Amino acid sequence: MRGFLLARARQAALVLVAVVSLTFALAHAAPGDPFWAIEDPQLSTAERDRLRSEWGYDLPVWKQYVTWLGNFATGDFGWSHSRGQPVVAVLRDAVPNTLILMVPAVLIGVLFGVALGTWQAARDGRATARAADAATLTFVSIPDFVVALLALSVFALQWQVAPASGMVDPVFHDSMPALGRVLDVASHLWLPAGTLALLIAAAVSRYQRVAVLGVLHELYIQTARAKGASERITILRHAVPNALGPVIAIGGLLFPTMFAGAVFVEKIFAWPGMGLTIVDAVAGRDYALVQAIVVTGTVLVLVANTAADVIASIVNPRTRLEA
Amino acid sequence: MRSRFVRSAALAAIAALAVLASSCAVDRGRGGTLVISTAGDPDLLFPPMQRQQQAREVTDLLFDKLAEIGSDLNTIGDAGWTPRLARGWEWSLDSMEVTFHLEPRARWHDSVPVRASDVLFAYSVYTDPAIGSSDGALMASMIDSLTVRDSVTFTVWYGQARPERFYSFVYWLVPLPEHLLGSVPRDSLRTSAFTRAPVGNGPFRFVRWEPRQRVEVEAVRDYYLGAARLDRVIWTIVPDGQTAVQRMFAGEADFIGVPLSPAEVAEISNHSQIRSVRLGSTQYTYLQFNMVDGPASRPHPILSNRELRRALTMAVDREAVARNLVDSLARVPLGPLARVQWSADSSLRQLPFDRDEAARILDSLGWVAGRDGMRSRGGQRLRIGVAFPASSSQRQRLATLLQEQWRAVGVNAEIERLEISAMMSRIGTAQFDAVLMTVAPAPSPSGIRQTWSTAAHSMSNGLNLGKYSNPAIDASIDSAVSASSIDAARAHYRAAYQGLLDDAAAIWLLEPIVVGAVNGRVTLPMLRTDAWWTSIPGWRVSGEPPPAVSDTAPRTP
Repeated sequence: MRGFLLARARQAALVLVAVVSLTFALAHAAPGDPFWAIEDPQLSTAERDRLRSEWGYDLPVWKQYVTWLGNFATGDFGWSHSRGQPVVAVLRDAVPNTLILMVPAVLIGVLFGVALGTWQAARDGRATARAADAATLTFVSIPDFVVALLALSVFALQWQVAPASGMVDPVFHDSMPALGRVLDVASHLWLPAGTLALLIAAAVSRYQRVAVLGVLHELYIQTARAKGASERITILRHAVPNALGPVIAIGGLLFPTMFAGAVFVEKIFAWPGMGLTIVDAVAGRDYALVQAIVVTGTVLVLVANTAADVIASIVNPRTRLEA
Repeated sequence: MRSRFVRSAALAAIAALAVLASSCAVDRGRGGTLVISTAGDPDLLFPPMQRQQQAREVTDLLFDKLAEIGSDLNTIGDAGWTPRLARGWEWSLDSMEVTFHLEPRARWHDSVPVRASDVLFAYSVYTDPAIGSSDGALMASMIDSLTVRDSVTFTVWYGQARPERFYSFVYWLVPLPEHLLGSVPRDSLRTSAFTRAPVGNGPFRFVRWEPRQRVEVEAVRDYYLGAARLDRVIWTIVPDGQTAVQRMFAGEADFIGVPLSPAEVAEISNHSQIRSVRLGSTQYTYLQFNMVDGPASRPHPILSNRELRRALTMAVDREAVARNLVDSLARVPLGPLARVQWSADSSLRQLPFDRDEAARILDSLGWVAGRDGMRSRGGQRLRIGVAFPASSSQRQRLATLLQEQWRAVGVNAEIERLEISAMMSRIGTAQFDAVLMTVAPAPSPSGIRQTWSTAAHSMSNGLNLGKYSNPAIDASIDSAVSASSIDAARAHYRAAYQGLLDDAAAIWLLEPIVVGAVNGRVTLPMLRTDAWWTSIPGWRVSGEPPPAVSDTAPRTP
């Protein structure tokens, strides 16, 4: 296992360096810079040039890269031009909000998706399973933002059981006691997180259903049944653990989204997270913010994928041997 | 047994959450708090450097100017201007200097008195090249110097007797607290904490700015001109327009100040507690032709021809385009001006929509239609790139409509949907054929000098992106800008506008009728046509607390 982890760590370090360097090169290769990205024709070329020079964007790219790397190594992530704040402050504001939204949404979505997919597989062919299959297919097919708008319209406007948007009540939040503030955030959270969880669950359940159906015909399942195990025990103890491979892989891919956020949910429900921050940073050629996000995101992807590989190797030791 | 317990607990949790959610969703009465839905964060809360309207909405409540422009938006002389930070001013006999007397009761929000030295300090910030303020450049072009007479009196000395010299100083300059900013190096001002948490002197003080969530200000109870009728104003950031409207319907916001679509306006009429409100705007959209070809400024091979530009203009049914795009929520502009500007003249002669005449002109210029109906001359297709920023869905639809209209006369419009950075870069190097621009000029019509004069080619804040040049129009603009009476100025502006229309320097396409939404609990006074938010101190909401003692003081001196 130690060798396996060391190999993974070496691989991760190489990937990190490659991704960071490539992102830097690509971001700088695209036309423009933070000052060309300001749509204000009154900002003259001379003024844009002056600002570029003031912030060092007129230096050769390799010099900018070395400077950035040096600053980054000392914990200076730079200045975000699109947000008018230090990059660290932008991340400090946005990352916790994203985690509050994404962690419950992803966890509930994956768990519910696994449960639903397993239930569908166990009842394969019956009307209820077919109806659930149609429902999940519908949610997977409809564009994300349409589902979000629908949820907003029904729950916030028609039934009025959720606030329409935002993370807190802008008027009363600060006058609430600590528990009240927590409940305030929870009341604003459940609709966007629920919408996201629903969409994740719909996708995960389809993978899980197919995976469980795939193992239900295996010999060890027949053996369990032959030994008199109930259908519930057979599925939960024997089929599900062996069908978790695809879901674990999806989980590894979903993990970084906990950091990256979901643009459509943030936009529709006005949730102040990382998704729109990333979009704005790229559109605004906010190099420092883009780099910081990429580095953090890459580290998370690498950690998550390594964790997924480790979990997969524990669940199925053959994968470790193959690796 | 255990599963029954788990099920009961889950049901109880769901019920509790539903009760909690519904209790949070109902309107509990916000008292004197006004909640405004806005599309995005301000860029900075620092008047000399901010660029966005969202920032102005906040800082215009935090900072007082010396005087406010009148409802007629007069920019010549000082007629109609209302004293604010300056309780009065007097002109010298030759009108080349004006002495302002500051209101001695005015205080910064940290209780330090506002002094004449703050005005001088602000002027030095605005005009510092390190700040790069285009407003400062305008001031510096008119003002010779400023001198302090005593702590509340200062004099502005003008270098030129321009009719808009009062406007160019008072409309743009926002006094800044020298005691807080004097020690900050100018090149560090942009990144200073003040730009995100300013200390002002206006009717509201800054409370908080949580990025992507809200900006909050609260009324200053001992404000020297009398406290505002509201307790607080909160701008909540809602990036999606549809969600912003839903928030209004759900009673979570009181006001939307961004333009609503026709469908949204129609939907509002179904909700008794919401009403639409017409907001003034100086905004208009036009297709600017490029007269030069690249940075070397050679004449553009196609668009430098006046007759061809006229044909292109006559081929566009602008009424139909506006109707198609936003139904009745826009009009065809009168020209390079907004109807709320005092120089607006509805008698300007427009080029008519006449496809036959457009086709005849193109034929006479040698652009002959081929088998596919598209025109070419000497093997060169009549192709015109129409650039616009990818972020603007309205301009994308506008470009598509233009493409259709031009196709009918055999002109091929190539849609160039560009990322902002790429578009600004191409504009900066004159590498475009035509670009769809949306501008919201200041109240002064003299901005036309920046947009259409030959002098603008070399202005640091010039907007003559297509390098248009016409000596006759330059002369009209110069005469208009230096005319001492409003009637004389109006006549010269008319000549300049007419010249630009006849020359087809651009196709002026769309002047939006901006409609926002307001909750029935809010009572609005008359809104200023260029900046609705400036009247917020006079807005009322039902359920507000009784007026404070200082509220009985006159609202304006």
